[in-house]
Amino acid sequence: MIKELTYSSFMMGVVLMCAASVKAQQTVKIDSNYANSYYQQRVEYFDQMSIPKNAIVFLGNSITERGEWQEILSGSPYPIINRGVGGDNSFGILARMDRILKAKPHSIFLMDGINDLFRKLPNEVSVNNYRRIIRLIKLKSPKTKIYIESALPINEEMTREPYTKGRNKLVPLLNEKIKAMALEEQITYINICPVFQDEAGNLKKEITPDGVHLKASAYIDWVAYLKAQKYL
Amino acid sequence: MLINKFKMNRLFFTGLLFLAYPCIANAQDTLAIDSSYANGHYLQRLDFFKKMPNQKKEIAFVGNSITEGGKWQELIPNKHVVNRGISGDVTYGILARLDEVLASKPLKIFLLCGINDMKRGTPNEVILANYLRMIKQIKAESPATQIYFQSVLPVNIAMLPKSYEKLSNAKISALNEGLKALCKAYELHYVNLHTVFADGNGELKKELSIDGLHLKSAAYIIWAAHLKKKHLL
Repeated sequence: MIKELTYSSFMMGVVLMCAASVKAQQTVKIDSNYANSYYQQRVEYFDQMSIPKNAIVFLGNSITERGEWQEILSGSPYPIINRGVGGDNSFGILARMDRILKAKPHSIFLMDGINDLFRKLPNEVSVNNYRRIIRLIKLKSPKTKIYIESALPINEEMTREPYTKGRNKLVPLLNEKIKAMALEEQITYINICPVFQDEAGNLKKEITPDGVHLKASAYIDWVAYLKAQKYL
Repeated sequence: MLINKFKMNRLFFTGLLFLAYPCIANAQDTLAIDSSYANGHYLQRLDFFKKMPNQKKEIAFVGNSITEGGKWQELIPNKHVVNRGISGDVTYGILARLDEVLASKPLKIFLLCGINDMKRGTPNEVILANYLRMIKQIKAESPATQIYFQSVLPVNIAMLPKSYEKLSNAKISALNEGLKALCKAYELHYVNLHTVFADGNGELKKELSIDGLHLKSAAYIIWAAHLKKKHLL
């Protein structure tokens, strides 16, 4: 399922905008696969559940999906909607934006990144996908407030999977690029890392079950931070 | 820690294991009951539950991964719905945390549990005894709470991974019969979910399941619609 793309086919393919940063001679391995069975069954659900008007949408991967956003934000004047999909990446999110934008949400909080890093997507490809997501929102639902959050660090002392190794050092680099893109697109970038990382830049041990995901209580701190910063 | 059921005779030959896993078993019983529940996931979910303020008129969905996997607030909007599912939880684990659920004096509790006990080999009578303890505790601590005890969902044997080999739909049906009788005796609502989730052979409908036990997200829409149709919400 991993597509090996040479520079020429890459240029003609879906990832046109980031091609400029890739050297001509290089063979770039872009894994744009996303439609696994878990993704598909979540989308099947999304297709049947129309998002209410004026919703606050939390959009992302498993880190978003596992948050009890509705309970933590109980009493919110806006309906809270969870549009996290475990295992999703920037290609997968892009591919399901239509359903979300049809509802013209009040705001969208997008957090993604780690699954892109796990599959070694070049930062340029991820950031370009985020830019496409943002431009889609602006085009189809111009009143929606867009918040893009920094990717979370991981704790490699706690992770076992080989694909997680050596990735934490890439998180700040990705986040710098997300931040720069957000500035160019004039949308709000939220650096969530101060809430969740230790002094060495790792995901705090005490808030994660496995070095990647968050314990349920960590979402209380997350929401408190968004409120303190007046994003919610 | 998940599959800790051993025949007693086997236990006698494995003294270390016998010491490591304390069992509740009466003298006649050849089964060692695994009542353990406080794993990492359980503890971190419970920590969250305890930190969350009690709301008025809570509708609490209490159970294991099947409950945890439901996006109940989205399915049942504009009500104070709380998800009190913990993946992997057993009846012993639910009993040990029921006080947290009852602290808000919820309007309604929807219970669904027992399949993980069965997965460990716990006999139906023991599971039913734990159901009864739940009912008694709810009635004692929050008598106005409406209790909706939901039937244990059927499984799809052909789809199940090997770790679930102790499950059978015959055992599940027998357990549900016992639960139904219990609900009748204690005058509470028994919710038969087989009518929506079982196929003609009594198996969990293939198209609604991920692995023969867990439900696809869309299956929860059918579930919530059923509860609404029966005027239980």
